Amino acid sequence: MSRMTPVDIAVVGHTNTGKTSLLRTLSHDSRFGEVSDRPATTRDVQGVMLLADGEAVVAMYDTPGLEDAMGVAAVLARAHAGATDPVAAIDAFIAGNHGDGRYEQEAKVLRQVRRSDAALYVIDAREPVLAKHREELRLLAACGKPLMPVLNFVANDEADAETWREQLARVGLHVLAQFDTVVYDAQAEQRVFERLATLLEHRRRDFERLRHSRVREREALIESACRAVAELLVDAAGARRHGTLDDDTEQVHERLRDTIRDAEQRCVDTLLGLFRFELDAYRPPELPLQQGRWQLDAFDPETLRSFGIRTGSAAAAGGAAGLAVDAAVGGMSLGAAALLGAGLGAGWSALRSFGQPWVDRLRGHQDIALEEPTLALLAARQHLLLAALLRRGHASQAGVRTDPAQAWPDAGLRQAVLRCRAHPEWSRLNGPGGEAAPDHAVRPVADRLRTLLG
Amino acid sequence: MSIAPFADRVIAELVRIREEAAGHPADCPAADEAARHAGGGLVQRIVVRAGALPGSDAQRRRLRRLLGGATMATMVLAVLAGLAGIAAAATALGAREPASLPLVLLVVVGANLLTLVLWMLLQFPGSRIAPGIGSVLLALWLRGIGRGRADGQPPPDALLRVLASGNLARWSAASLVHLAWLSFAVGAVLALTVLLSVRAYALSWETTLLDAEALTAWARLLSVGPALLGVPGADRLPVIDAGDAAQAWSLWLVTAAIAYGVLPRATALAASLAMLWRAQRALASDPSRPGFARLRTRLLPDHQALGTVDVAPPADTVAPRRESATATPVLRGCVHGLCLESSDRGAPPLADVDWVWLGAVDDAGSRESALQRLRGERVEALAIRVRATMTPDRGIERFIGELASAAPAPATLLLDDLDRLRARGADVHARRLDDWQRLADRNGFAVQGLEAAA
Repeated sequence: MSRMTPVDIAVVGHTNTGKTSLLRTLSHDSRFGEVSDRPATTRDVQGVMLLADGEAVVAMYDTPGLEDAMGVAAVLARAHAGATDPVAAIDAFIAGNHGDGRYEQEAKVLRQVRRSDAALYVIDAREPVLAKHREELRLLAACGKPLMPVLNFVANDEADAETWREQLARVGLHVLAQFDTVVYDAQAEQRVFERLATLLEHRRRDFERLRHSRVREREALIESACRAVAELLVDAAGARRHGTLDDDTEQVHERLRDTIRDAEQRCVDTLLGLFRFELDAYRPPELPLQQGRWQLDAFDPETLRSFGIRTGSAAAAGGAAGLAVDAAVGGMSLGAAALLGAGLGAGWSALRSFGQPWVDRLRGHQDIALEEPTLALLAARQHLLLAALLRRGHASQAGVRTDPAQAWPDAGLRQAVLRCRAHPEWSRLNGPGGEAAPDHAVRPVADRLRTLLG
Repeated sequence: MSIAPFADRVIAELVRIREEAAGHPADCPAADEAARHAGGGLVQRIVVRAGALPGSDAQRRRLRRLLGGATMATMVLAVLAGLAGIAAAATALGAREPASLPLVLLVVVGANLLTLVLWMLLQFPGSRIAPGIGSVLLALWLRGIGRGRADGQPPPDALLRVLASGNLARWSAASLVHLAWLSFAVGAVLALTVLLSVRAYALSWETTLLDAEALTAWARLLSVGPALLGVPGADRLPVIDAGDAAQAWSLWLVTAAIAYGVLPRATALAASLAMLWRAQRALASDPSRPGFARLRTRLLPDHQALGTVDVAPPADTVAPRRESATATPVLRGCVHGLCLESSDRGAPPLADVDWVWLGAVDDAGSRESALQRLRGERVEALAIRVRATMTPDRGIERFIGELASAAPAPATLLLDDLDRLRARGADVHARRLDDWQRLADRNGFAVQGLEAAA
C-alpha cells in the first residue's frame, strides 16, 4: 500500500485569537512561530508536520489573521460578483490583485485554505460574536473546505463558549472543539484530532494514528517520570557510607547527605527535562520549586516538620542499615557458590546478610544509612513535584499527602521503598560496585507512584 | 523487528548510565542527526546515537577485547573440565580390580548431578534473585580497587559493570558452570568408552553393607536412565555375578554416564543459553528508563518544521492621515458618538457633552448608514466608543479612517472595558493601550479612557 500524502490543515481565524499558540500546542513545539497579543504577529504562512512514530501524518499551516473580512467581502461583491459559484469567486480573488494589494494578508489565508483539506477556525471565546466573525465564516465557507471552529481561551472567566456554540450552529457549524492554549489539557488535544477525524472521515486512520501515538508518548512520559522518582528512592534507600571507627561520625553523615542531595537534584532535573515542552509552552503549573531546586534542604528538620514528619532527632541520617534478612540474596549466592563447588559465596552472602555490621565493627568500620523520615521526605517531595507537573493535586502540599503522620504518600509506597533498605547493592549511590537498580526493585515503587498519580 | 548487535546495545546502556549519572544527556548534534537519519523506533535510534557519540569506538574495541578474552577463558575452562572428567573416569575404572560399577558411576556423575539438582532448586525463588556470583565477585574486586583509589580518579570500569550485572551475569555464570560440567561429563564418557574398548576390565556390583536384594533394587533404580535410552540393565542382566555379562554392563555404564551426566547438563546449558540470549536482548531495550526517555524529543520528534510556505507581504506603511489632535481635550459641546463592534452601550455619561448618538455600528449595513449620517450632518466633534480588549486590527482601522474622512472634525477614541483589560495582566494592558494609541495617532484621534467617567 502506498503511503498517502499527509492531511493538510490550515489554521485560520481573526487576528490575535491564538492560532500560533494552538499550533505550538498541537505540534508540541514551544518555539514554533512568533506569539504576542498584538495584531498581525504572524504575517506569513508557516507549516509544521505532525509525526506519528516518526512518520509524517498531518501538516498544519499557521496563517496570518483575517483582519478585514468585510473589506474582502466588499471586493468580492464588486469585482467577482459574476463568478459562477462562491468558490470560483474566491479563486478569482486569490488570482487577482487582492484589492490593489490591500488584502494581501487575507488572500494568503484564503489561498492556504483552498490548498488544504480542511481548516481550523480559531476563536477567542472571550470576544463577543460580531458581524466581522460572521463575515469571516461566510468567506471561509465559500472556500468549499470543511471548517471546524476551535474555541480558544475557554478556561478564562470571560469566555462565553455557549453563545459561540449557538451562533456557530446557526451557520451550520456543529462540530467544534474547545481548547485553551494557556492551560494544559492533554484531553483537549485528543479531542481536536478526534473531531477532525469526524470532519475528514476518509482520513480518520491518519488522525487515529496521530492520536494513538500521542497517547503512547504521554504514557511513556509519565512512566519514565515515575521511574526516575522510583530510581531515586531505591538508590537512597540502599545508600551507605562507610567510615572507620576513628572517622568523625558527623563527617561520614555529611558525605551521605551530600550524595543524597545531589541525587535528589538530578531527579528534579530529569523530571523538568522530561516535561520541558509543557513547562515552556504553557502557563507553568505551580511547581513547589524555586529556580528548579527545592527551597529547603532535605536534611533540615524544618523541612521534615513542613511535611508533617515527626521525628525525635534532627539528624536524618544515621543509625545502622536495616538488618532485614533477605533470603533471596543469601540463597542465590549460596546456590551460585555451590555450583562452583566452593563455600565462598555462601560465606560471603551470609556475612553480607547477617554479619556485616559485626564484621565491620571487628574491622573497625561504621556503616551509615538513611533513616526512614528522610526517605519519607524524599518520596513525598518528588511525589508532590510529579503531581504538580501532571497538573494533579494543584501543588498543594495538603492535597497530595495521604499520611500526615509519616509523610509517606502511601503505605504501599513506603513498603516498596523500605524493602530496598536491605539492598545496598541496588543503589547506584554506593560508588564502585553499586549496580543499577534491577527492574524488580524499581518496578514496584514506580507502579505504586503511577497508581497514586491516577 | 530487527535488533541491534550486542556490542551496540552494551554501548547504549553504558551511555545511559553515564548520562543518568551526569544528570543530562550529552550534547552531540551529529549523533542525534545520525540517529534520526537511521529511522526506526526509539530504541533503535537510541542505539545508533550511542554508537555515534565520541568515545564509543574505543569502548567497542574494549568490549571486543573483553569478549575475546572471555571466550578464551571459557575454552580453557572447558578443556580443563574435560581433562578432569577423563582423569576422574580413568581413576575410577583403574583404581582396583574388579571395578565397582556403582562407584565408577558415582565418581563420573555424582557431583555433577548433585550440583545440578541444587542449582535447579535455587531457580525456584523465581525472579527475585539478587546478585549472581558474577556481581558478587565483581563487587569484591571493585571494592578492592575502589579502596585503593584516591577520590577524583575516573570511575571503575562501567563496561564491566554492565556486563556483570543483573540477568546477563546470572545467566552467563549459569551457562559457564553448565558448560564446564558438560565438558567434564563428556570427557568422562569419552574416557570410559575408550578405556572399555581397549582394555579388559572386570566389572562388578559389590557391596559389604547391603544384602543382595537391596543391591538389586539399587541396580534396578539406576537402570531406569539407560533403559530409557534402550540399553538393558539390572532387569535383564545378572547383578550378583556381573562379571559374566561384562560387555553388556560396560555398555550400560557408558549409557548411564550419558543419561545422568551429559543429557541433564546439556539441557540445563541449552536453557541457560536461551535465558542468556533473552537477557542480552533486554539490554538497552526499555525506552522508559529516564536516561533514554529524555532523548525522545531529540531522536524521535513528534513534529518537524516545514518553514515558511508563503512569505509575508512587505510591511504596511500607513502614513498619518491627519495631524494628531491629542493635546486638547475635545469632548465638549455637541459630539457625534457611536459604539463600534459591540452591542449598543449607549452614550457615556460625560460632563459638558451634548451627545448625538448614532448607536452600535457592527455590520456592513450599519457602517454604511453611520457614514452617510456623518457625511450629511455638521459634525463638531466625533467620539467612537470601543472595547479596549478588542484587538485593533486593519479592518477597524480602515473603518475608523473612513469615519474620520466622513466627518472632518476633532475625533476621540473612548476606550471601554479597561478593567477587563487590566485583569488580563499588566503587560497585556500596557501593550494594548499602546496599540490603540498608535492607531489613534495614525488617524489623528485623541484617546480617552472611560473608566473614570463611567
